[in-house]
Amino acid sequence: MAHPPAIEAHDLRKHYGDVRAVDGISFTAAPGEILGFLGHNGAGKTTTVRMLTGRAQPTAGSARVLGFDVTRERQRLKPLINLVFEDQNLYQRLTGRENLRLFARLYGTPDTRVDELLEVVGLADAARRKVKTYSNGMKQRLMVARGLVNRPRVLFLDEPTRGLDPASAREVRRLVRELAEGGATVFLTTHYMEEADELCHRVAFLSRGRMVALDTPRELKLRYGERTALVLLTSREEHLVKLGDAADAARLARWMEAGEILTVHSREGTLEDVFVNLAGRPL
Amino acid sequence: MISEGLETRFRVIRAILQKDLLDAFRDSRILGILLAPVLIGLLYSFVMQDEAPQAQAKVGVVAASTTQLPRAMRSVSSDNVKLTFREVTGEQALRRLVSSGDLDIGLVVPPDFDRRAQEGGSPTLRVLTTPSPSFGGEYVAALLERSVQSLTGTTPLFHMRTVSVRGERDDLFVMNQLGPRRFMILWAVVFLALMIAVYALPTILAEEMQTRTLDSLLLIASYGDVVIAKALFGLVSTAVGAPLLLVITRVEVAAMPLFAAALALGSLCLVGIGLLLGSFLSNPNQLSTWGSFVSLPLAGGSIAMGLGLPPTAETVLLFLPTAHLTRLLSNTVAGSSVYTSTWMSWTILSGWTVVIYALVWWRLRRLEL
Repeated sequence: MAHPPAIEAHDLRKHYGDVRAVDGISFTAAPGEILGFLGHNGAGKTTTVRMLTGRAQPTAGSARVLGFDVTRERQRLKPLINLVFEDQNLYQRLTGRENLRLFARLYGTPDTRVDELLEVVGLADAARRKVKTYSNGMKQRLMVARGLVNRPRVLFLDEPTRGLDPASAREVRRLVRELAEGGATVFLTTHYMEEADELCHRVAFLSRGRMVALDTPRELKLRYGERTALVLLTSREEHLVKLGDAADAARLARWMEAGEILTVHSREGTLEDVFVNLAGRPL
Repeated sequence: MISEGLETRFRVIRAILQKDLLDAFRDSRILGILLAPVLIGLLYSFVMQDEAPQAQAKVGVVAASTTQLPRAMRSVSSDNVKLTFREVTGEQALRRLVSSGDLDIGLVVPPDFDRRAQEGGSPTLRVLTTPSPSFGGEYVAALLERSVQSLTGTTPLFHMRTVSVRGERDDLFVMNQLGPRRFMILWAVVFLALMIAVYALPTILAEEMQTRTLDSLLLIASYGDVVIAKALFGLVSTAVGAPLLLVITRVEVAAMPLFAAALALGSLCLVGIGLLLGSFLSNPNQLSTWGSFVSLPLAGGSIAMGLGLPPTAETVLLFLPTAHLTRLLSNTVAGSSVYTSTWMSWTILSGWTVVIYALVWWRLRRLEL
């Protein structure tokens, strides 16, 4: 029997006066899935997260997370989910350990989980330092540790690698992947197309509060991206040819017949290309 | 199920409270807010005395003929009490002056009082006082028999008829009865509760909003849980700070249970005001403007209770909860009714608390989903 979806949204809407922050989106996310939400600032990503985590009431539509209605049953839902915020909203005068211990106590998790998480995110040595002395990367890793403190079955990550150096970003992505492999659903909002491509099982594009596409990165790229090939000729000239274009196909055939081709590298479209095609402008 | 829910809420509130206390201890702004009233109390403790300045009693006299009674009263009175006599025309005027608190006591001396008392004729002396006479009024009333005895040279035969007039003002000599040092330390206790409620609490709440740490708490806690934890922070801080202030300044409290009850109610009311204020702020900087709008009248209303203001000003100040908290605390420290109408102070303070928390509840409903 198939597992019920971890997240189910049906015609979800959030309006602030005349502003339609989220304008009727529907989707599901399966257990263990990493679902990416991509879009410009103001596209409705964070508002969607706010509704799914029970911190904003939908204007219309409905959403269930782990089978619980996000409005009516949010108190039962709260212990089962967690969120890594875009802002590093940590208690600066508390140490890393004290920050995690606060949330362990809020969730009723034993203090041993705190030490375990500090090890996982590589902050055990800095655990007794006040957070205000941490680097940006350390703070972000602490944010991720806080998001894992209650072993959430659904984790929402709002721009988790924004402003991080490549090494810290890679570390955060590793943690996210491990969490999903453990069966948790990850709802990821990000500006980074490469990150979404690398991490997400499926990606949704949001534009002006509406979902304009939702599929696996590969399918999206095949459907909306341009298939091209980079041809290197014996004359050392490089040519980019469109695989679906008749004129380019004829050019390619001529080069092959003449034995002028040295190498051919096929190139599928990027998510960035897909997004530009769908939203009309890059992220 | 219900007990599980309550257990969860208790756990959440306790965790937030522990965090707030730890965080506040490391926040120099909050430490400053907590320490300032304690230091002010200590300062008063060093520079002021327990002994009151010379007590005084203002006596109004309506006399149809010349009487030697005031002179006799002065002769038997203690040097520590300054007697001031004022001749008044007519009993109506005398009633008004006693009622308004301008005089502590009024004497209506009948014609030939001195002669009839000396002859053993049992004249009637009418004494006008409020239901809860001031120290001066009580002192003069107790002095009358000895004064007439001094006038007649023998045990006097006279009737003293006490007429009670409705008092408009309480005893203006609260500083005399409590002593300036004790009164000012009590004021520092009220000021401590006020600073915690109106500055420390909103600072913490507004900072949580500004840094969005509140959002992280709300992932598991409700807004109500957060507010209860903040309120407990205010009450705990006052419950620790006030006794500490009294102990280090060696002020003894005559009625400790009532003192604790009054301080708890007053602190609860002020914490409600602080929570309401904090719920409208988006960052701690706004508090420097709006905090003084709230704290200055409340602090002023408290200290004014010991100054003996004109009746109109005092009536206005009696709308303030801190005025009544000061009155209740003064009574419990003195162990007597330094201020009258204690029930009114309890009622007004309770009323303020109910109204403030109704507003906090209303505000919470708007801030929740």
